[in-house]
Amino acid sequence: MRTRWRASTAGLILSVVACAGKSAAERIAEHDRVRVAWEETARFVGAEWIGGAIPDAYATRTLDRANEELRADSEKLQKDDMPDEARARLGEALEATRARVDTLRLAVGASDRASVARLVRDSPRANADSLLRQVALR
Amino acid sequence: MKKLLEITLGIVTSIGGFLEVGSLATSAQAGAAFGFQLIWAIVLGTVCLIFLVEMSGRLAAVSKQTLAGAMRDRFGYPFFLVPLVAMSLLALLVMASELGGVCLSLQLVTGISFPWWAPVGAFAAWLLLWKGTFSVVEKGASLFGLVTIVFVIAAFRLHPDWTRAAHAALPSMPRHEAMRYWFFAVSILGASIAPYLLYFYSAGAVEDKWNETDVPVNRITATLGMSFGGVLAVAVLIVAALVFVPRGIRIERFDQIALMLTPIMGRWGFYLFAAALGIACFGAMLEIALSVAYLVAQGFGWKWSEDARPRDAARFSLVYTATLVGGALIVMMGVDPLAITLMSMALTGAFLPIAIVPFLILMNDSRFVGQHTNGWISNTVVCAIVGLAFVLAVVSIPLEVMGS
Amino acid sequence: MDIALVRDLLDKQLVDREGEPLGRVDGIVMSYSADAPPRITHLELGAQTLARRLPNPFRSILAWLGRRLSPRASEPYRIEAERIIQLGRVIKIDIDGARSAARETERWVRDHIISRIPGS
Repeated sequence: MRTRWRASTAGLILSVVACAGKSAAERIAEHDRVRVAWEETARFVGAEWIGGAIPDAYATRTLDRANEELRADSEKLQKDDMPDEARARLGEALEATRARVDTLRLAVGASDRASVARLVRDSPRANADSLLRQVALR
Repeated sequence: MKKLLEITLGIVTSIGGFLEVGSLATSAQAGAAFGFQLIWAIVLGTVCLIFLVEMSGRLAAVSKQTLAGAMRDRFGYPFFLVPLVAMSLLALLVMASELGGVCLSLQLVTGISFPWWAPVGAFAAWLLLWKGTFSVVEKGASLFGLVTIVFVIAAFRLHPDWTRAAHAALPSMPRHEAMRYWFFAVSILGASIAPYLLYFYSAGAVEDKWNETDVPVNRITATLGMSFGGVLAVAVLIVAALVFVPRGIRIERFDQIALMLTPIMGRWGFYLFAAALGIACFGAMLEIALSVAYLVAQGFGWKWSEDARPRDAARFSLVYTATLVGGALIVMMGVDPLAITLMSMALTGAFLPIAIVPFLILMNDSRFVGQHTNGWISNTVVCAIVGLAFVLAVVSIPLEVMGS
Repeated sequence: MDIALVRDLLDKQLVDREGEPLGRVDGIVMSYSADAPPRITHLELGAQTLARRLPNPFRSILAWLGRRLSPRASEPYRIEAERIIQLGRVIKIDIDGARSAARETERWVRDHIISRIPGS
């Protein structure tokens, strides 16, 4: 009696877990959301830094943090289960974002307001949905 | 006139326990991820807390016993160990989160990332408890805690769509990332309904020698005080929604939350955020350390009194000291503060029944509260909300843990 | 007067002559013989008593811990029933708390730990 109850509880938990396992589309969306979050955080940091609203120490530390998080996400991307095409596109996007954040970090570190202003203004508005739509259309 | 003063002081006191790292982090993350949608979770949590705090004061006023003491009295010894151990361990985790908040605040202000901020913060809290009295702790933390009003000011300055916010006070289903939504919902409930606040409040009421005539005032104090806390949390959510959502920023790490007030108030916003975070968390640290000490000392019948000198309440003082040390050790292990915060809030939600069910039984037992037993509304509301928190926690925590 | 042992005695707060806390009633000792009805002889306090009230795996662990931490307290502390002055919300005992063995752990913690920290 007890073992049967235990077995059915285990079965229930396992099925819930199986359903909760993310689909490939969700995993792709998740990676993209992380990328966008940090790309836009970096832009935000740049914009506030120019306005003098945040101290240098905080700006540089947060940009370093953005860099770390993007790197960690790239590593996670390599291990995730998804179509190779999606992995390649996401990987590229992540690398591009990381490069931009790096440039921004160097500019802030050098107190180069002009460059920071340019980067904040000119880097593409990250849009989480577009990448997902592109992959889904294939 | 005296009653008016009591009410005002009571409200100011209640502030100290409400907005702390848990409410701040959960509200900010929820606002950034889901806009106004999760306002209902804050509303539900606040309503439940109002009922619970009022009950805690009523119990102390009528039975002249604290919640912990009454629990041992009514349920006896082996049973009492269950809430004692569960709540103490949970409090330790929450303490670590609060200390993390204080450390972040110091880091923001000084620009120095100092691993030793943790023992510094813990030591400062300990010193205040060691040398201070209950009133000093209570009133000091609350008065300084008023700096958190900055979030309400910021919310107004952003001109939110108040109608939309009001609609969000009613529960709604998530349109995306359902598991995350429910995990945030339970974290918000756990952040609002903090059991440690109940042990703290009833101990304060007994130490202030409340009696039956204080029951009506207590009702007002609990309602106004906790509502104020709820308003603060909603303000944080609104500000986060209006600042982060248009920029497409999802909060992943604590560092990002510090940007919340800068678009609205510039450099002042940055430092005000740091101050609000630091002060609120510091106040919470004091309350949590005392709550654990109250729980243990009252449960075992030791002398407990924040007003007494440490040597006159030796084991009590030892317990709050150990709690602070434990919290510092956890922080120094280097676990991500935002992760500890979210998890401890969600676990609080999961463990609420352990703390609340015995409490409800006490509040319906005339041997303790005489004629002032709970009405059906109190019982129903609390049961429903705690039940909800528990179900959400059991479902969403394992999934969130596996998903990340 | 009717006393329900569990409701009115067990786990209740004990205070001394001056109203200062002494601990809680962790156990009740009774005596009974063939020709006399059961009567309460002592109230019992202490970690040993508490350990005995737990189910088995915990009981042995706590008992072992108790013996390690305070080897002198091999016997739980008992208060004669005659010393009970008053029953009610708390139980008042006719004892000078300052010197009572019930406060031994408290005094130990005070003298060996708390006093060593400045400002106590």
